Amino acid sequence: MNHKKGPKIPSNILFLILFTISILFLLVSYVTEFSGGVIGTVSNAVFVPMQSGVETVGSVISSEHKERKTIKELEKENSTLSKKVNSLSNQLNQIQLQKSELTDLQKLYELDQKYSNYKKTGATIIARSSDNWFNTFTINKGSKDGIENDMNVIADGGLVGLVVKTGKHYSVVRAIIDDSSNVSGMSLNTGNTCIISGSLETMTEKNRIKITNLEDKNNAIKSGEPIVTSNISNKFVPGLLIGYVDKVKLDDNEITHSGTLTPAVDFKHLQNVLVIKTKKETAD
Amino acid sequence: MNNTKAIIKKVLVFGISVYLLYILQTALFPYFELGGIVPNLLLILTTFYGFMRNTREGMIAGFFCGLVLDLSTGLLFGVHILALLLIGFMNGAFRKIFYGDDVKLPILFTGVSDLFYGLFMYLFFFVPRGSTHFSYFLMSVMIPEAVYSVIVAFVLYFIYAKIFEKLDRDERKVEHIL
Repeated sequence: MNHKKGPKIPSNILFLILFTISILFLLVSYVTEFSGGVIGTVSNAVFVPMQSGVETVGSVISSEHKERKTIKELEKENSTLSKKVNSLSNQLNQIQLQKSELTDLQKLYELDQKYSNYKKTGATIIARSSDNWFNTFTINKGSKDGIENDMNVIADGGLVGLVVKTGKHYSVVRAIIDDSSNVSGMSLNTGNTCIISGSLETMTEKNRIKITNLEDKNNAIKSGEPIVTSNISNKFVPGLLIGYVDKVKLDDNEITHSGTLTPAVDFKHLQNVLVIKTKKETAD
Repeated sequence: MNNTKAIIKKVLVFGISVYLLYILQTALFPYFELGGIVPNLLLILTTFYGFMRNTREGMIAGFFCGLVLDLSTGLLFGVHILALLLIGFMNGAFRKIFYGDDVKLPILFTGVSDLFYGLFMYLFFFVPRGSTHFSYFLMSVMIPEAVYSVIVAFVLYFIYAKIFEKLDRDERKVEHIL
């Protein structure tokens, strides 16, 4: 365009320069876990306010989108629903009675005590991973709010993931269903340890993630068994519910079991999360 | 004087495009996913800059779009930069072979670029972890993403054809003065 004015770098040379820069970025981040530094601070100041706004618009539009139904469907639904309301209001009374009983029991439950001992802070998801290969998301709290890398994130009483990057007012969380995620878990009832790894394949296919290396000599673990984070995990605090066993079977080595697990959290409709401010302390 | 004005205009158009598309991609489109797949808007932008403008602008667009993506995913920094840089460069090279104002080509190359991007991510992140189910990833991630991106690219194409036409006109005016 401005070839008449001043020297212009030929595009082959420009390609080489940019290529070298990106390779350098890769090497530096591989060695030092550098992830943006100053550029990150600038970009978060620019993007985060808009993202949280558009995210709200998106959730409103999509909920309206789902509400659109034909009148016939609505009438049909109405009659079945009014029948349901009657039976449900009966049930509700019963459940309210049971609920007070349940809260008493939960207080006794050791796990619940562990949960409430952790210091927590609430956060809202403002953006999701930019492509289909990763399961990461951005939350609206960062180092200014006391968030640090490796803090655990939970929601609906189940484990969501791990903070992998923090900016001033945002942080990136890698979900346990991400293909690169590995969590050391254990069975709540028997104490057998296992490894829970995220899997893009089984997650999109069946909403399940993988269990491997489960040592279970007596074949005591059945489907529906709750799996929590184990004591030996080096980044996750113990006792957080990961999910429920879907299917396990004995491996070829006849020692360990492996199979699939249903995560406790509904990752598709996740909006608000809690970040546990207590970090697991490890020897290193 | 007029020359710098045209450059500023070009940079502004690019900056605003990246800003809006990135926000749409991360904050709005996740609500309109089809089978868990969202389109890759910044990749479409890079393809357009490479194919409808030239190699140089494709590369620069790819570099900065990649930078923005790398900042948002807490993964190995530089992967998206490298992927989109290559895509911008590739599309610039395609442009030299298939020159023309045809609507089909830029949109078609969006699909090709998206497949390339999928392959790149698979090789970079999934193969080192011992993944062997290539056919699965091809069928349920790469191809759906490419198809969705092509559909969105079809809409974006007409917007960017107008924008680029206007930029070209400005540039020609500058050259005329010079």
